[in-house]
Amino acid sequence: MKKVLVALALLGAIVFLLTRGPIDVDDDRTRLRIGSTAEVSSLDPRVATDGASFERIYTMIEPLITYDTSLELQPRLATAWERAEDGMSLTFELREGVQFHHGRPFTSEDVRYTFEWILDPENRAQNRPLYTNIETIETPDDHTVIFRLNAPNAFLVNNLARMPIVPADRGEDDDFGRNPVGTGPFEFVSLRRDDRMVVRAFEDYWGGRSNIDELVFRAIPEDGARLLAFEAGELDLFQRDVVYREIARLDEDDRYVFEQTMGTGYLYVAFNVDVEPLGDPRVRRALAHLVDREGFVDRVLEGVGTPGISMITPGTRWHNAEVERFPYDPARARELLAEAGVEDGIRLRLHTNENPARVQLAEVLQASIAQAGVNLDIRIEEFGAYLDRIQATDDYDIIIGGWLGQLDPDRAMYRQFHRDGSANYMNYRNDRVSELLDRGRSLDPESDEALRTYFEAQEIIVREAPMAFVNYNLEVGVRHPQVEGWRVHPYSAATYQDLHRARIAR
Amino acid sequence: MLAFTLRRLASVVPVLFGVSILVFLMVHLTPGDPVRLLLGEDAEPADVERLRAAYGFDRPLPVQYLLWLQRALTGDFGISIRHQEPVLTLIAGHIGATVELAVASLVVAVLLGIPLGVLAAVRRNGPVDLACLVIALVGVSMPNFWLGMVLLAYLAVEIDLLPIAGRGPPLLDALGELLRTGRPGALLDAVRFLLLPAVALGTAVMAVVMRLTRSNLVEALGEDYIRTARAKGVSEWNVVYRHALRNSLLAVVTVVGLSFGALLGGAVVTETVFSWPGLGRLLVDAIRQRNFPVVQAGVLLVAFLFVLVNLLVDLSYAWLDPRIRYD
Amino acid sequence: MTESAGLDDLVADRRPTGPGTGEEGTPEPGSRPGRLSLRRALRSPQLVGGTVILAGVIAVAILAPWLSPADPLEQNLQNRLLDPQGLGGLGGEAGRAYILGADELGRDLLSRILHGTRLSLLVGVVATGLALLVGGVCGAVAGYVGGWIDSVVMRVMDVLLAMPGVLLAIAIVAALGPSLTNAVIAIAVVRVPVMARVIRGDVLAARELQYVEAARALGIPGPRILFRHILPNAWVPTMVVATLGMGTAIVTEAALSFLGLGAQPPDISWGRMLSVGLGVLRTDPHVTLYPGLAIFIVVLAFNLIGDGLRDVLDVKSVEQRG
Repeated sequence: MKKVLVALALLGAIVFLLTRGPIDVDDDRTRLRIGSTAEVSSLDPRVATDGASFERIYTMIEPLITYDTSLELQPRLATAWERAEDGMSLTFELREGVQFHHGRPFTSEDVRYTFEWILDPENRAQNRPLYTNIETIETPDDHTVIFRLNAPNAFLVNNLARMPIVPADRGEDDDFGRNPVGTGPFEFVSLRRDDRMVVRAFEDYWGGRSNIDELVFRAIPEDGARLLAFEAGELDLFQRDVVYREIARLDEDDRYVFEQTMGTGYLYVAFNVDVEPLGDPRVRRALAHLVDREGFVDRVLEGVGTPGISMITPGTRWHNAEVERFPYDPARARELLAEAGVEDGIRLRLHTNENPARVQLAEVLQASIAQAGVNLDIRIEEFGAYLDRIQATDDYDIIIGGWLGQLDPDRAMYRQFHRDGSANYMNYRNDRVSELLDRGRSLDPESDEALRTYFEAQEIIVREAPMAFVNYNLEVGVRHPQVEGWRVHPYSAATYQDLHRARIAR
Repeated sequence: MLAFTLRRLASVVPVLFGVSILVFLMVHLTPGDPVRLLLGEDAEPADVERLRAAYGFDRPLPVQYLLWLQRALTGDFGISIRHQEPVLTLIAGHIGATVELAVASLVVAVLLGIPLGVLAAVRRNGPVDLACLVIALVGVSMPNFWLGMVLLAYLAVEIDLLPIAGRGPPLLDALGELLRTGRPGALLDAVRFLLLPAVALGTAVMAVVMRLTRSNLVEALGEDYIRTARAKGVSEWNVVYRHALRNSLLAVVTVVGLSFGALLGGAVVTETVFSWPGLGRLLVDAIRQRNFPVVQAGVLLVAFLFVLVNLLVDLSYAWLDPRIRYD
Repeated sequence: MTESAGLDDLVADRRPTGPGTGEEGTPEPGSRPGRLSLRRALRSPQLVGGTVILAGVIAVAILAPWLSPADPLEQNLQNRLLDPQGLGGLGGEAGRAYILGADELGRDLLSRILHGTRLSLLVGVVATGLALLVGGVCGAVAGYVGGWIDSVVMRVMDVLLAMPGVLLAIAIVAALGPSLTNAVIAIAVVRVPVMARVIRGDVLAARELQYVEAARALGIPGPRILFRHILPNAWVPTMVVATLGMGTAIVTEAALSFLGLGAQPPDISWGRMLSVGLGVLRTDPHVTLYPGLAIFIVVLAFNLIGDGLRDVLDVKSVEQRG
């Protein structure tokens, strides 16, 4: 028996060495516990690309401009900005009296450092393509930055608005991605990956100290588990991926507040026009008529979404509500297919990845398209294999995918529908559309001409149906009623950027 | 004994070498590109190429392997592509949770399995024995991730004290906190979070421990020396506890040891169900993201621990049972 | 393979056969496997019970289309996640009793569970059969020929055994692409070393038997000895391990499908059904409960049979080697 005890003691020692880590102490600090849909990849905004990382980064590191909940640009570290007449430069006036968490004042050098780091091909900045229009960055004084461009890009300001500013004297630290420093209302405390991350109020925040002392982020990737944890009182709030089926119940229950708002993305079915018979617009239009958008939104998404008509989300001024509609109409679809001479019983492949909404859409489509005599073979792939297929090969007929963060018409159309677009998976080539998208970049976004240009492009694309737009995403979130001053944000990555203004009612 | 230990240790090396080659081939022949996964659905082709070159993925596979091996031998397992931080830091952040859960599951298994096994053996062929047999068969036949889901649906949802997801404070820190400050709050919190996942993972092991305890004890109780002890008037409790049970625990040690090794990397789905921040989840995510450096180092580490634990089981077997001699 | 609640992994030998493992391959004196006779079999309640359950499961698999109240693929989005209606559902809509409720696309859960039996059994049998074939050949050759071939083959098996089964299976499926076929291949690969171990051990034991030595002395060629004299004697422990392995294979398929790496729609897999359940645990536990119960019943049947066989055939060695 003694030997067993010795063995147990040894095992205990090994376990002890392996399992140490910080612990959270209970006290009377005000604290919000937030559910995350995924763990952060990195807390360095220059290398992270995922929403889950940015949700947390924005509480600690601020960008020059931010989007508010109506998707309007608001000053943050910049107080004013201006686009030159010729569209070849952008000037930002920076806020004065801003401190980084490590005690140094924020200056224009930090802005230049951040964007030059991103533009340096030696660095592994993953968002680099968003900024390659920048030729040089000038800092005439501590609080002015001028971006000189190599070609007009009216929408560059939207991209600049997304990038948090990294302090020049800390940006080269090896551990910046897990021990970040910024100017934000909260400063970093600890990160236990796949478990929890803690940030606390920054005493010297330029906008005044946060009402909330501490934020605790918990990564609970399973949607059901996250909601259960919320209802059990283990979480105070979260945005994104509230289990659809539960929404009606949550909405009725006084103990919870459910909120939704139009998002910035959509779900689509795309047709490879180089594959016969999908090259024939009549066939694509027929298939577009076989997507039961209302049924999918109502019954599969439980109403979390609005039926899609184009690639621009409603609610922004770029959305053209007059484009052609494709109501669910199997009879019309059969007519169109007959007109195009498509024989009964042809087989087409449908590829998508293992995202549940996409898989369910695939199953619904399989059933509805079969009614028109077209058989779909569903191939669900892992995300990696799926990306390989759509980006590196042309080996697919129909795909189901989605776009997010379509905050301006250039971002929503150029890469996807321009004949040379890098994400034109449909191989869609329309000269007029390409011309319009090129022109849009050089126009003043506020002008009527810009609006007309993008309206026309939308109209042509929708009519030719290289893509069937299924639904626009709604952003959804839940909170307990005592949490006040936080709203669901249409651009979910920015949802916690103003959490220092929230308060907990007693 | 020493020679045996050294020989066994030496035999671990080629196995680990084989594991590293196998894992390397598997992850690199897998369709899906880590850089594409990083950049997502709107990647620019030029950037995909640039980053591929930066990570060296454009080189021939054998060259990539040798470079990896060369660095790994100096303890440098590279940088996680997704997280941009050292692989070892990442793994170190997850192994604690996995070890903690594995130990907790085995504690559940042993604390329930041995007493039930003893009970079944002492009352063998009676209704208690039958009940234990049924428990064991049921326990071993339930998929443990499903058991976890059922526990969540019918217990955690109803009982406020049992959390739904995640991990509390690290168990041993919570213990330290108790010893330092005398406050049990953190420890209770840690146990609350551990309980259901530990039961879900521990039930199958419990069943095996119970069966082994029973069958070995039944056998031991029939041995000559036990009969002698009985004849000498030693009380039945003493017979069972001091003589028979001790000798039948050997097999239990083996099962517990092997289960520990298996739990280190094999509890993937259960970790997913309970949002447990363990190694299994890190590795499955890494496989899905084609995060080669993490997969390679992680699987190698799990294999190493697995082989090591098995070796320790063999050695402790020899150590605990004086009848076994290795040379 | 922890994810799979299989008795066999803990009982069958998973330890590396390093060159120094002294006890490996030593034939167990006096453990001549018993013979399976009906009379002995009937004395084992486990074996009888397991066989009865398995027979029922097989009957369900064959008769699924006739037993099912509805088409398992027919969607009815109005009835998404409908709660179980019990037998009262029989009076409802024609053909859709929803006795066990509906799934996330309004398909009849009972019909889907009944049809899912086919896939589960198929995976169990095919994956185990493949593992038995490949592992059997490797193990038999290694054990019989010995020498460096034995070393090489068994080192390869050690490498496979050194990785947790589910993790290895996930990596294989990721490499081959998620599909039912690839899941079966992955499960088989994971099971190969277990089978190879068992068969090698039995071949080593049988090789020492007197009549085998006699056959060798008579100059009968090696392969003939192996197939005619040794393997027929080695099959008993193998059968026990293979039966128990069926359960493991079925659970592994469920785990892979749960993670989206196994069966693809419209194939009906219990594991895929469970993955939907996690999202709606609070309001619709029936989506989780019943498919899991189905897995449990099938695995239980195989475990009972394996367990019973071990008792009846007195294959102590299998347990002792753990």
